[in-house]
Amino acid sequence: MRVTNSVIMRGFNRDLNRVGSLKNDTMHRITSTRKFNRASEAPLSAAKALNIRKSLYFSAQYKENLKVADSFYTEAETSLLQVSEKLASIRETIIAACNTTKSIDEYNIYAQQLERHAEEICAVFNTDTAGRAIFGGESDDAMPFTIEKDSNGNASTVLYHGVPLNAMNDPKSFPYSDIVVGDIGLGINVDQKTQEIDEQSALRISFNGSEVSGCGAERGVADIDLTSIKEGRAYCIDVFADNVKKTISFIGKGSATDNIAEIQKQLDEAFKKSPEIPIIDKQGVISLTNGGIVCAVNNKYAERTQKLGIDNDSGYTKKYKLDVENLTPGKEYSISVKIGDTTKQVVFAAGNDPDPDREDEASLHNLQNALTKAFDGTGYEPHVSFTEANKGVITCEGETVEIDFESKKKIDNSFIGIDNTINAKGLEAGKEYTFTISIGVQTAQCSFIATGVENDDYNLIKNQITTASPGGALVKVDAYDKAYIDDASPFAAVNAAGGGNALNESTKKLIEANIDNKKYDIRISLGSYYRDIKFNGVKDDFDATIDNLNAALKREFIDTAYDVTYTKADGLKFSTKALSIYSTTLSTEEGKGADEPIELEQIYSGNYIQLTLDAAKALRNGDIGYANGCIDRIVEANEKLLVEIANLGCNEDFISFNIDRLTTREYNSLERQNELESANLEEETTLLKTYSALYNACLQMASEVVPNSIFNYMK
Amino acid sequence: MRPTYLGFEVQKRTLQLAQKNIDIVGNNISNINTPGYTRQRVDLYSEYVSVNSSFRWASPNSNLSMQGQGVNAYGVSQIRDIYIDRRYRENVAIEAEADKDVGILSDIEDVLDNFETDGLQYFTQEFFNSLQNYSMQTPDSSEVATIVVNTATNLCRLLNDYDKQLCEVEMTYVNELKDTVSHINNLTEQMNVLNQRIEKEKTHFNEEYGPNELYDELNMYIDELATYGNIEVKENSNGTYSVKMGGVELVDGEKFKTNRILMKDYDIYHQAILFFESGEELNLASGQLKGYYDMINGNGVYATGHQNGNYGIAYFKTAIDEFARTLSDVFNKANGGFEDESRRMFKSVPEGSLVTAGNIHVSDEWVQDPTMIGQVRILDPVTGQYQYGYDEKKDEITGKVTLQNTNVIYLISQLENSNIQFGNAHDFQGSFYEYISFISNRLGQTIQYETSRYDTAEVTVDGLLDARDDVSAPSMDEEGINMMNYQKWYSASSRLVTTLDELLDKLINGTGRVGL
Repeated sequence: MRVTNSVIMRGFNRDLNRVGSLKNDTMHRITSTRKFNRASEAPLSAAKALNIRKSLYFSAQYKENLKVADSFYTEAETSLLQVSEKLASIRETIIAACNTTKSIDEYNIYAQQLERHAEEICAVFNTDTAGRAIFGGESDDAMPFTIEKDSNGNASTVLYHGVPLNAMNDPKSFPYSDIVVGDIGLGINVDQKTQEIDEQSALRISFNGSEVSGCGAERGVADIDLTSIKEGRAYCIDVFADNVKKTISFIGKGSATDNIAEIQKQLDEAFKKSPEIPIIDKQGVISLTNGGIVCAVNNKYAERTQKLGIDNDSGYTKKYKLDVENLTPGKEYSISVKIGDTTKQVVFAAGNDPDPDREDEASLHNLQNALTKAFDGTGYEPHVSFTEANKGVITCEGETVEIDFESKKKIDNSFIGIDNTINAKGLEAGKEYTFTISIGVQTAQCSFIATGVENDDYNLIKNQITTASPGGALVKVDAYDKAYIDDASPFAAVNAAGGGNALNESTKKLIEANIDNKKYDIRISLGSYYRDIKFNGVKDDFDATIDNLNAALKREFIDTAYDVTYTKADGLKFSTKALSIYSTTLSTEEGKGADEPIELEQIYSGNYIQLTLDAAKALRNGDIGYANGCIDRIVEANEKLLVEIANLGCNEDFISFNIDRLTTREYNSLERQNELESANLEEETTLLKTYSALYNACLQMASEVVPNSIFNYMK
Repeated sequence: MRPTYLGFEVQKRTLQLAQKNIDIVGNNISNINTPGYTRQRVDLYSEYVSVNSSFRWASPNSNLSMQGQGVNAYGVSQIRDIYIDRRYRENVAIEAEADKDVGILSDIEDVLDNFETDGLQYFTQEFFNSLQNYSMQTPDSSEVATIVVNTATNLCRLLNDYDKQLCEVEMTYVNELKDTVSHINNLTEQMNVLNQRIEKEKTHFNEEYGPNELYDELNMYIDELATYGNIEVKENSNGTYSVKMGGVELVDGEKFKTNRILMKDYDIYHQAILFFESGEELNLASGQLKGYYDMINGNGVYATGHQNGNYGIAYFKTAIDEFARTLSDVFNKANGGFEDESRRMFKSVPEGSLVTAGNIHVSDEWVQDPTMIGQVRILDPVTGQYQYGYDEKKDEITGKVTLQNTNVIYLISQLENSNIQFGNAHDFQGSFYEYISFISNRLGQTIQYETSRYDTAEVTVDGLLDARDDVSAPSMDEEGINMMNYQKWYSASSRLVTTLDELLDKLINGTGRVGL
């Protein structure tokens, strides 16, 4: 092979360049400390490096998220421990207050202490981390918990995001109660359609204050002060019924009846899609027929509206109620009722019927009748509530009702036996006997002067009963000397007084197919009564229509001897109400006092802050019984709280575990990144030395590149 | 009978040829460093004079008298191997093409770098991180929400910058291509002129000989032409060369015509389109022009018209356009921007045009209300229309109000969603991160492939250059030895003339003078 000069020169230049380039690359790797500076230098390593970087970025971010969550959980745990301590203090305060009888002033001091404790718990719950209340759920609101004061300046109601904590049993129904979660790299799972987050794939970073502090109450009604409604003024209130919140607004009307009708209309409209529509009774008490909690507050965003007087009876109420469950059937009771400055002695008898519901209803009616009669002419209209949620509570619109009760045993009842049977044997001749006959809310007084002859007296009593017949019912006495309501009165007529042909005359059934969304007005005649029934039809919802009809029937036939109901199967049905006959002649003989017919209503809140305030209120009223009842509940709440704290601890463990996990992952990733991207300095330096030496050698060789040729040797 | 002065004539020619040989050695040594120079040699032959023709009167019976006519030369030839030339030209085209590919791709890689500088991955991650931070706050935390807008703006700016820089790279190479085409046209023009000179000069030479220096120049032009495209070279009977590029006649040595290469206006077609004056479009198998074609028009699975399936500037421009468009589409959709324009997070400027990396912007609505993305869509039961608000998710039945960060979490999940289709169905399905990795990897792999192609071609070309020099380049030693050889030859011949002279002198002056 001919080795020509150009081959030698080109070869040398090429090799020198190559070594120079290698040396330069090595130097670059050393100075940049990177194995490669462009993906093309090592595509596979670069692809891996990008993944590692992503993983590093993610780990760092998730750690950051976990730290935020950790501060939340730590703060929450600290707060709950503080709350737990406060609850212990509250318990001690109540126990100390209830220990011995104290003066009202002393009770007031205890009450103030309790209020302060409650305020302190609220402050703890309002603690914020980085401008965000820990127990505020999803809201950024700095103060989720607020305490409202009553007209006397005493703390009365605890609100969570503006909603009374007693109002709803389900903590998830409160505002801002949905979960707030943070992504901690568990592979957050979001439904791409509904945007719902799988809670397990993320860490919860919000605490629902209503859940932690408890919510709801044993029962509750909203007592609207009808006297506070002024004609022509606008009102706007939030009504909470069975975990459903609706805002209603209305313009005040001239009379209480019109106002009630207006409020009911608004309630019907607002709650038309709810399972239960709250009803307002003649005393302005809004309740649910199923006994669910009703609460109402003035809407805080309502501008240019008047404040409505609302008393939410879902905690301590200081109201008296007839203890219908524990009355002795047929027993007569006497109570001293004080309304305003007027005190009246009211005598009533417990109902007596084999059906316990009817018996209770009769008792309530008897009390109502006795109260109405006692306060007739005084201007007060005391009221006994019949609704499930408020059964037996005695109120008088705009006034406080106070009761001092005493029980009396029924005497002189030898002529009235159990189950309304008559026994005329051995009556005192010439003595006037009085007795009362009542059916539902109707009562009639009877009196007769005994002859002493059994048969005559029997006929006298029988005549009295037959003719008295309250409410137009026909009361007869049968062959077994038992008084009963003659239920042989069939429906005389059912007329569609207005609103169309909702009822089929012949079968007394609703014409289901023709029901429309409109008001129906029918007249039902039953025996000697007739009543105009107005009810709302609900198109395509026959059950709702029937409910409306039954509510109207109950309302309209309340003062008759019959209960009229409608069932899908049988159409219109009627049944007789409980009949109750008893003597009203008072005895001087004291009863044993074991049966107390009236008790102070006791409703306990499910929220321990509210419970504390209620205990304070009870203490102010000297109601030790109620305050005592709070102790156990506070203890129970504290136990639940400790479980909650333990749960938080578990979550904190989980967080620190995850931080550790991410730190390990980060460490591994860094190592892997180091392996992939970092130049091996020892290796590179050795290489650099080699290339440098090589390069220098090449340069040194340069003078030899063009070899001596034959010309150097020619002479 | 032998002619008396035959010897002198023979030696005169010998001396002249020895002198010519030394001239050529001198020429070879002189041009040892001249680019393109091919070593030359004098083609010698032993002279023979036929005894049957013009000399028959001199020696009718014997051919003896005419023997020993000495040396003569056909001419001065070049030592070239046309097979090595062909192989060299084939391989140099591949080398030049791969070199161009690597150069352009490296420029693209400089733009789309993720390693030396903060690239797309970093800015996407910043966006993700800010969303994460926002998700850990309540949706109405406007300070944190503002950071999300800022990181999104930075991401948009980076994409805008990518697009601008890639356009610059594109225009740089389009202009380079224009210059290259014009240079090729000059080259072919010069070759045409050379061909004309060669044809004229050739008439003075024997059939197999020609103007060597002009051939050297022409070969150099051909070598250069070979770097631009795959060529075929044909030697014509008139001594000129014709060259075809990509199968189309570029230089015609017989008709002395050139076929110019023309380029269509890039500003109109946005694709590199080269065609011959004779009408055919350039269709090359290798060479720099193919490199330009592949890299400017290479649009992968998006190729249309004159584009091709290579991963060139067009493809990577499309790739970041697809990234921008997908980013815009996915987030706008996730945030409800498809139903309600005011919910869009990203937009194009001018509005209404297709979103690209060059025009992607954060929407005005988002800039004005950074917490917009924290709000969720709800149906207003009163108006029957959808509304957005973070505190207005209201259950129609319960009236319950919720403040949710689910929208932000949902947006985060979009960044991690690995079922996103980028571009058309032939391109890529995966997450945003995977797409970034995919693009980086595709670019890296392509560069590596082209680099290895270049390295291989370079080694081959170097080998062929050496092989060519083995044959054609002058060697100092060889020439020195030749020189000494020719010098001795010259001396020997000169000595012979002396001997002949002495012979004649003996004959003329010494004949008949016995004993003197």
